[in-house]
Amino acid sequence: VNDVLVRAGDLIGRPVVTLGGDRVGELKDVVLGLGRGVLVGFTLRNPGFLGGPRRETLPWASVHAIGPDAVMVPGPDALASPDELAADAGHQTVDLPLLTDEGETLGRIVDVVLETGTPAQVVGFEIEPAESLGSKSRRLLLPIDAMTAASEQAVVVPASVRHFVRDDLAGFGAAVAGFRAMAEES
Amino acid sequence: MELLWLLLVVLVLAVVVGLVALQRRRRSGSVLSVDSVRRPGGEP
Repeated sequence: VNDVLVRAGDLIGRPVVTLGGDRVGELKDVVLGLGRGVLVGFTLRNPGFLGGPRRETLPWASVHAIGPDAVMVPGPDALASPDELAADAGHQTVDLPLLTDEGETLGRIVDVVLETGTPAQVVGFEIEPAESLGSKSRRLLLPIDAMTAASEQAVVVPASVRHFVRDDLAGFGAAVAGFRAMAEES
Repeated sequence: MELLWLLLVVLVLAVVVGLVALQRRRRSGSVLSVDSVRRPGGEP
């Protein structure tokens, strides 16, 4: 799969198409394994306004490519049973508060940034910043690494992440690399 | 009689709005996490 940075929220609703050209559904939920920092897969819905949720899921390992207009899979057999992802047991990541390990609220998570390699990694959060950050931007991007702790109530990141805040996805890859290099050194 | 018709129209509209809202909710997606805890240091 091509390595690109993408917001998880931007993937929702993207059509799932086989390499044979058949449209097998649309992405509904993005399912993360935040504890491992990986993208696990997707739940699906049927196309069209009247299309409801589908029982089948799409594990990340079965994705052939993610493009700007569609998610490509080798064939209809790429879809898996609901048990494969255990998405029913998942909890919302968006809307959780983001705290530093020094007890400062950085903001509220509004999206998750993914790197779509093999495996696909969770590399950052997009937040609506708290006033204490003094940001003029409505939204900011913060890198995360293995030192990140997440629960159903909040996500905690090292305070040093403040030095790697960006407001644009274009320069965010360098911020992620810099933050992770610094975390490895310390 | 006119009042009854008005009530009927309001009722039908309410049902339609409710069904549309329900369908939008069924179709809306979100970002979920299935294993939320990551301890400092990255141990599982």
